[in-house]
Amino acid sequence: MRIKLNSIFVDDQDKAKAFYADVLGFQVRHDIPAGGFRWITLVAPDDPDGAELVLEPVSEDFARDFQSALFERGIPITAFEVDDLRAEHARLRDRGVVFSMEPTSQGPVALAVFADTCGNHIQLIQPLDAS
Amino acid sequence: MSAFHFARLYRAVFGESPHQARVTARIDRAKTLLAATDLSVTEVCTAVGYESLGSFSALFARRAGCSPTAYRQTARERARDDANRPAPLVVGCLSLMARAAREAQNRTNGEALATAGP
Repeated sequence: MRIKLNSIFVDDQDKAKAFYADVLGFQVRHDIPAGGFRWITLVAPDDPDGAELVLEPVSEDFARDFQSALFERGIPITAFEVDDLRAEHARLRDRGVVFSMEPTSQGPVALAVFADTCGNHIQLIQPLDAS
Repeated sequence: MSAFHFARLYRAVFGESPHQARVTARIDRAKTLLAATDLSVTEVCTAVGYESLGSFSALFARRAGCSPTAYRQTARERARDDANRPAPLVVGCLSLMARAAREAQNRTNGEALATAGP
């Protein structure tokens, strides 16, 4: 049994696909019609057969409620791991990404949080070597 | 029990009046007929218990957010789309699962209210 799907809600699938692919740098794996919206998944470019990020539309009330509840509380819906948080932060900021939390060390990790333009906070995590 | 008392009790329990519940059941049945059959909109109107096509269409539009014809169109497209969807590739889609659950619940509710009689 493998962990394969990470589903997040986005309030606009087109906008989300553009953000996650063009701005963050993920690669689109699937984009097919599904029941009036689309099944859109992305993968990390260096792990195309690995875990897929699923961009679910906010098509039900509970999805809207869940997403806005997290967003209002500043809770990230998911987190991505990076090797160099400061470099990633600089790269994304240059591309217009808005951070609600600047890179901060918290024990064994360094963290930052940004908005994905589609209703979510997203966390970036860099594991720090134990010293 | 008086009709007035019944209606108030019904509303307290179900969150809508018996009349509204009846209308909902009829509109849900109309949706099913529009999506799954080739009955004309006029025939659907009669089948769910309305005499005036104009009134039915206006009521449908108010409840469903679009005309009966537009609803049929969207439902047909969606059915075609679902038939063409490669099944293995969208297993795990929360939105499809949520919609299937909602539609199953609507069917159950619609049947329960419809069998209660007009």
